Amino acid sequence: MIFVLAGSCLLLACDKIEPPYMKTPQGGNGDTEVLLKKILLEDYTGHTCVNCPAAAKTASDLQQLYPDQLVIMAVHSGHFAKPQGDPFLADYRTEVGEAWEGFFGTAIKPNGVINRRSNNGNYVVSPGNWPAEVTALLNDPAEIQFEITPEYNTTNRKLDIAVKGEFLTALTGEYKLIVCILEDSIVSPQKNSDASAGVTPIIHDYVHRHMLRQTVNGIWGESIAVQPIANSMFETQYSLTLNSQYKAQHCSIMAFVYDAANWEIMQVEEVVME
Amino acid sequence: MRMEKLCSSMNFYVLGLLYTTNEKIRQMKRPSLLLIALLIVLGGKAQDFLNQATVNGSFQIDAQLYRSDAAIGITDSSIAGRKIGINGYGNIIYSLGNFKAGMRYEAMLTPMLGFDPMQEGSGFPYLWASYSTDFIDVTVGSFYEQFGNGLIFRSYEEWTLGYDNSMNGMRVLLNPSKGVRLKAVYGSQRFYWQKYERNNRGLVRGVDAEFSFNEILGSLEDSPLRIIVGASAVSRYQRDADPIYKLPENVGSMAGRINIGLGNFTLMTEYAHKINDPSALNNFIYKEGHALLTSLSYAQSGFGVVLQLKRVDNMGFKSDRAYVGNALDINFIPPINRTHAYSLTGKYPYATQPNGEMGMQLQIHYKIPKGSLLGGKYGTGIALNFSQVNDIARNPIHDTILIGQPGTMGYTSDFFKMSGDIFFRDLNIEIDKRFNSKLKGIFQYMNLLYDIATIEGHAGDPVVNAHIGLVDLTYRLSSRKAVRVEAQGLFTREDKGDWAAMMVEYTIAPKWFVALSDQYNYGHPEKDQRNHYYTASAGFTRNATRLALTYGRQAEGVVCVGGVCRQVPASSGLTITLTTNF
Amino acid sequence: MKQPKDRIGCLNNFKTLIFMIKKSLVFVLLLLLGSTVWAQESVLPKVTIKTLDGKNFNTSEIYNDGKPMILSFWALWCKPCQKELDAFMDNYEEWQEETDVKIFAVSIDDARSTARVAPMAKSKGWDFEILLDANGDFKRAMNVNLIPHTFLLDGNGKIVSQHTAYFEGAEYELYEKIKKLVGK
Repeated sequence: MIFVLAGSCLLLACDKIEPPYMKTPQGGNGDTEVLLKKILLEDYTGHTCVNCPAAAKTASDLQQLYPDQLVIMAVHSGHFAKPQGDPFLADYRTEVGEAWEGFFGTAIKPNGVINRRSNNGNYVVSPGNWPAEVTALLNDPAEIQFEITPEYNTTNRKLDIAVKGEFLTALTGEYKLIVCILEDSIVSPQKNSDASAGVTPIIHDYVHRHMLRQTVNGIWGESIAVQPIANSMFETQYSLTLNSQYKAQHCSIMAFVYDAANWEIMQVEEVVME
Repeated sequence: MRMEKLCSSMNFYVLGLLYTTNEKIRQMKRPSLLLIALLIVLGGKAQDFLNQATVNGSFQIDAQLYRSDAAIGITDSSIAGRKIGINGYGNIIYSLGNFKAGMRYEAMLTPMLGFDPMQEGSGFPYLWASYSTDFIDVTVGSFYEQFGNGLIFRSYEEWTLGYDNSMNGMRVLLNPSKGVRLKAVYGSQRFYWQKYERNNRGLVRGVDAEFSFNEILGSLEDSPLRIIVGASAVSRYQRDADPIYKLPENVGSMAGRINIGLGNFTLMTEYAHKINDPSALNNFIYKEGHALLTSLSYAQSGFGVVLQLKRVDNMGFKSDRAYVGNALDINFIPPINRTHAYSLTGKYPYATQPNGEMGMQLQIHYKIPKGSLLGGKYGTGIALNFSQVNDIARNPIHDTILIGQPGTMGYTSDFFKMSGDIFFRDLNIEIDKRFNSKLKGIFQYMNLLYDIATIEGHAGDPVVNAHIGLVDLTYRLSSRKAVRVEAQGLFTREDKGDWAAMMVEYTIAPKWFVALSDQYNYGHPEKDQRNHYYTASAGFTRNATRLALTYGRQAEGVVCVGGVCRQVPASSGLTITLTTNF
Repeated sequence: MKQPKDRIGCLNNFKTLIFMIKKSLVFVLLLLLGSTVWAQESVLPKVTIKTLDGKNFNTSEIYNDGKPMILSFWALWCKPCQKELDAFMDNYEEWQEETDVKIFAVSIDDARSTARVAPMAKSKGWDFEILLDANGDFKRAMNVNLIPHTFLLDGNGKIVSQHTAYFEGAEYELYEKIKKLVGK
C-alpha cells in the first residue's frame, strides 16, 4: 500500500517547498519610461468582521511592495460595519459604500474589488488572491493621466478640489470621474481572530486606515468625456466644507476615472489634503 | 397523433425558450445546446425508439416571499429590498441500454436569504453522459464521486445548503476482476456560475483503488472475517502568481483505509496525509496536514455500540487556495457528533474545523425487550450518545515565530495531544416508547457545551452551556388520522437565553398535513427581543409530488448538513416548496 | 448617464417571478406530458453502493425472485423515515407471510454516520436489507429529492408506485398496493 501511495504521489506530482518560503520582493516598476496605470484596491470591511484585520494587513504589505502604484480604499459597509453593542458603537458606513456593496456583491467580508474589473460578471476578489491579481496589472500602461490639487482652509474648513487631466490616447465610450475623501489613522475597536494581525478577540486601539468617508460627486461620479481624442484635456472643480468629524490632518483626496460601460478603473490618484 | 403534434410543438417552444434564457447562462456552449435539442426532439418524435429508452427526472422549487417585520428587527433594508427568493432546479436523465446522459437546469433568481449571493443566476451547470458495462464505466461532463470516507476527495451536492462542488471533467471506473475496483477522476470543480477559465482555480486529479479480500481470495469467501483495503491519491494543480510567497503548484494528498469485520464487530479506519498547502484557510503556513478517522462498532439484534475517534490537523483542501467560503472543497472531513432533528436540539450544530480538531463519539443503542418489566408491552428503545471535540495542541516552532504565522511552518503538534479548549460537547439520552396501540412518544434530554465564538465566528462571545429537553408524542385518532405534539425547552444563560418551542401537527395519511408551531425566546437578555417565532404550515403529498406552504416567522439559525453549515438570517413571510419526480 | 442596473428593484423581481413561473409552467407541462406520452417503464438504474459490511453492491442485484419489493430511502437524522421503517417493521412478519415482499432500506447518511447505521438499525431490530449510499449516487439516479421516499417495485424491478413523506397510517395504503401486485 505504501508503494502504491508513493508511486501515485510521484505520478500525480507533489511540490514540496523548502525554506525560505518567501520570494525575493520584486518592487513595482518605479523607473520606467512608460507611465503605468495605478491600481485601486477596495477593501470592503467592517469593525465586527473577525477576518478583516488579516486582509487589511495583506493590503498594506502589498502597498509596501508597490508604493507608487497601489492605492487602497477601505469601505466600511454592510452587516459587519453596523454599530453593535459596546464597544462597537462607531458607524463608519456611508451611503455610497452601501450602494457599491449592493452593486459589486461584496456582502461577505473580507472581500475586495481590484480596479473594478469584472471576471464574467464577478467583481469580487478574495484577499488570498489580492497579491496575484494586483501583480498581474502592474505592467499595464496608463491611458489617462491626471492630477488632484486640493486647497484647504483650516479656519473655516473650506475645501476646494481641482482635478485636471489628459487622455493620452484616443478612447471610445464614456468616462466618468469619482472623487473621494479618505481618512487615515482612525483609532477604534475592531474584532479580530488572527493572532498575527493583532490581539484577539478585540483590538481596542486598532488603527483603521484609508477609510472612505464620502464621495464629493455622488455615488457614480460625473461624466468627464465621451469618445475622447488623443491628448484631450479635462478639468473639474469642487467646493465643499469638510465635515467637522473628520480630522483634516489625516485626510486625503482620492480620485479615479472609470469606463462607464463596464466600471473598469483606468487611472487612480491619491493626494494628502494638507 | 395529436399528442405527438402537441409534443413536437412543445419541443420547439421549449427550444425557443432555451435560446432566450436569462443572460446569466455562461455554461451553454453551442454543442451542448444541440445535444439537449437532440435529446428532446428524439424524445418527442421517435416513439418506438423510445420504448427501449427511458427518461426520468425530478424537479424542485423552493420559494420565499418576504415581508418586513419590525418586531423581529426586519426592515426593508435588511432584506435588501428583495421581496422574493426562488431556488429551483429540474433534472432529467435519459437512459438507453448502457448509455446514459443527463442534465440539470438550475435557477436562483434571486437566491433565498441565507444562500450565498454568488448563487444568483440560471442555466445548465450540470451536463453529463456516461457509458457503463460491468467492466468499465466512463463518464464525461459533470459528476460526483467519493474516495473512501471522503477525507481527501468528495464531490457532492446538498440542495438545502446551496452546496455543490461537482467535478467537471472525466471519470473512469474499472472492475478488472472480482473484488477489485479502481477509480480515476480529472477535472475542475464547480464554483457557482463561473466557468473554469485558465487559472481562475485549480485542477483536480485523483485515483482510488479498493480491494475486497473476501472476493479476491476464494478461501475467504465464506469466512466470518471480512477485510476490505483501499488507497487513494489526489492532487491539485494551481498556478503560482503570488509575488510574496513561494507557493506549491501541485499539492498532493494520499489516504489509506482498512475495513475489518468479524462477526458482529466492525473496525473501520482511514488515515490521510496532505503535503504543504499554504492557503488563505490556514494563513499561508507550510505545514503538512493529516487526518485520522477510526470507528469501532458492535451490532447485534437489539443492541448496538459505536465508538468513533477523529483527529484533524491542517486538512483544509480547496480547489482555489485563496478562497475561504463554503465552496470548492476537494475533501470532506466528517463531523462525528450526532445530527439533531428537532428545532431546539439542532439550534447549535457543530461544524468541522479543518485547521485542527480532535474528538470522539460514543453511541449506545439498546432496545429493552417486549414483555419485560421496564420494556412494557412493546419494548422501549434507549439511545445514549456522548461526543466531545477539542482543539489540537499547537506548539510554536521557534520563540520568535508566532503560532500560525504566515510564511512559516506554522506550528508543531503532537499526534496524541489535544488542547484544553473544547469546541463542542454533547451528552444526550433518547427514549423511544410506545404506550399502547394509539400512543407513542420520544423523550430526549441533552446537555450541550458549544464554543459559539469558534464555530459560528462570533469572536469574543462566551461558550454556550445549555440544557435541552424534548417530548414528542404521537396519538393515532384512527387508522389514517393522527395528531403529533412536540414540546421543547432550551435553558441557557448565554447567547440568546432560554427558548421554549411547541408544535402541533395533524396528519391525514397519505396525503395531508397541517401544523402550527411557535418558538418563544422568553429568556432573551433584552426584554424587547423576547419574540415569538410562530408558523402555520400545510401540505399535500400525492405519490412523489409534494407541496408544502409555511407562513410565519423563522428565527435566525444555522443549517448544517454534514459539518458544512450556512447561516440563515431571521425572516418573515411565506415559504413554498414544490417537489416531484417522474 | 448610465445608472447601474437596479437589481434590487421590486419591479425587476416581479418580472423575474413571472419569467420563472412561465419557465416552471413549461417545465411542469413538459414533465406531465413526459409522464404520460413517454413510456414509463422505469427499471432500476445500475449504481454501485455498499452493504453494511462495506462490500460493493450493484443495484441491479436488488431482486426478490419475482416477488414484490419495497425500496425506501432514509437517514439517521430523518425522524419520519425512522417512523416509517418502524411501521414497516411492526407489520413485516405479517406482510411477508401473505405476499413475500422484501424491504430494502437505503441510507443516504454520508461518511459522518456510515459507521453508525448498522448499530442503530440492528438495535431497532430492523430485518430489512440495509444498504449504504454515502455519496448519494443511487439517490440521484432515482431522482429522490426529499426523504423519506419509498418505491414499490414489482417482481421485475419496475417501479409500480412511489411516495414521499410519511404520515401515520400510510403503510396500510402501501400494503393494499402490494396485495394487488400479488393478485390478492
